[in-house]
Amino acid sequence: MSLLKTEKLTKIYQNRMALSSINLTLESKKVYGLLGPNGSGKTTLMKLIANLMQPTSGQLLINGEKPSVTTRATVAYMPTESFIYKSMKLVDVGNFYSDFFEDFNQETYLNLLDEMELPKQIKVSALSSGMSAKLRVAVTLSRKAQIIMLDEPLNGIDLLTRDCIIKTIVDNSYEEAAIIISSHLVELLEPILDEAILLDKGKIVYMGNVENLRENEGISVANKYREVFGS
Amino acid sequence: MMNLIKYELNRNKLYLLLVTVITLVFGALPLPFAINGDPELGFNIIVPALMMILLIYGVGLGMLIFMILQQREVWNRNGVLLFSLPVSRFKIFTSKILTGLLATLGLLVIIVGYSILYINILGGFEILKELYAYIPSGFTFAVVLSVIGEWLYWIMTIIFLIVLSKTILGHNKSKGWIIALIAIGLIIVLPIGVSIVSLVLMSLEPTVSQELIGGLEANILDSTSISIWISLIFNWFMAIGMFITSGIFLDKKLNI
Repeated sequence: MSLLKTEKLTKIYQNRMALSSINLTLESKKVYGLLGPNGSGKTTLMKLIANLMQPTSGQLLINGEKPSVTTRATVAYMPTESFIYKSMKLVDVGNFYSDFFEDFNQETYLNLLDEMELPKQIKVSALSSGMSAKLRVAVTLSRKAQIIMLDEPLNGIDLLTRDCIIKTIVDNSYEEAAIIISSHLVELLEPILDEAILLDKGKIVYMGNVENLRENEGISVANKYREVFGS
Repeated sequence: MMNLIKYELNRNKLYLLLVTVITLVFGALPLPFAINGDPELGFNIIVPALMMILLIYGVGLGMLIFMILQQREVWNRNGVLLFSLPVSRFKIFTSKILTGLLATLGLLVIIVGYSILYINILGGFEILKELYAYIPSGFTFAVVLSVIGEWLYWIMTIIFLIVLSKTILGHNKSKGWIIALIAIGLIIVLPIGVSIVSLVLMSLEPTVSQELIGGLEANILDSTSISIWISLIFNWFMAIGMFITSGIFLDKKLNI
């Protein structure tokens, strides 16, 4: 049984088609790059998987189950925006997550804060955008979730913070999980991807193994991205 | 559930402080009169009424502000954290209701404590009695305050419903409009019904209503107070009803 399977998954916002008939199968122990320009449907797909919204039609199954409170316990979703309560100290964020998620590892979280040089006693409201991005990654990767989704983790941050975040993802992701990372910074992400999914206007325009793409077509994911979206 | 309530209380402590201040301003000031009503000044009927009006609107208003602020969660970024938790939306909203009720209970304790302090230690009753002596008619004063309170309450209610409808309208227009229409209908129809009952009761002689109820203190169960009790119950039903309704609609997954 696939970890995640969608069949004709469609989401329409009022009159705008956000996702159109998406058929997708994701497996454990792989890193998926969800790539595409703004408005291509990357965040919508992640929110559907995270059970934050409902599809207009089609089916989405996680371990054979429809998204629900139960599946939320197996999905770790990191949105683009700062979503953690600003009044909390970083140490409290760990306590909050341990109270609600059985798979949250407090020790990993505290270690990640140290590795990323984030002070534990500082409040979320006092963090810079780079620090906030690091915190979001730290809290998400401290869960041993079956599906880990990082929505634009490299947006709006400097080069060194990007490197730090990529390193953290590589070193600390739960090895049994399926990791889905959305971004339009393809070149930065490419070295850590196993599979690439290119979305355009709510449709999958390419999906394939990164290694095969290089071997069979002789091009990188970044070049494939340019080929698809450059015209 | 306890974890949710704990975090709701912790996260909303600033709002709760605001509500406490509003409640104290609206609700606690006339309480000494209710406790030490002075028959010579004719306050034995009016003062409990005043007290109840202000207390109801103070707590009711505070509760509404609290709920409106809570609704921000539906569309702002914080909602992602709360709704990503492996907890049902019903539990999330129930915890919000319980948090609101707990907060209100705490506020009532503060009001009573404040009043006892005010009467016994600060001599507040004498100060207030002098203040009220300048007002030409206690009854007029009560009516004016009642009207102000009523307007404030409904303004807050309408703001709440606009916020709720706007949220629902965001992604599900037809259902949103139906909900908005039902809510507006309730706003118009229910108060008219309550007002009619209140007016009928207020037109009765206090003794009549006392005979109806029987055996209780006159300054607590006169007709004015009964009408205010009805308002109180109605207001609370409305407040809690709105909260539950929003929870149920959101739980129905209106694609918000």
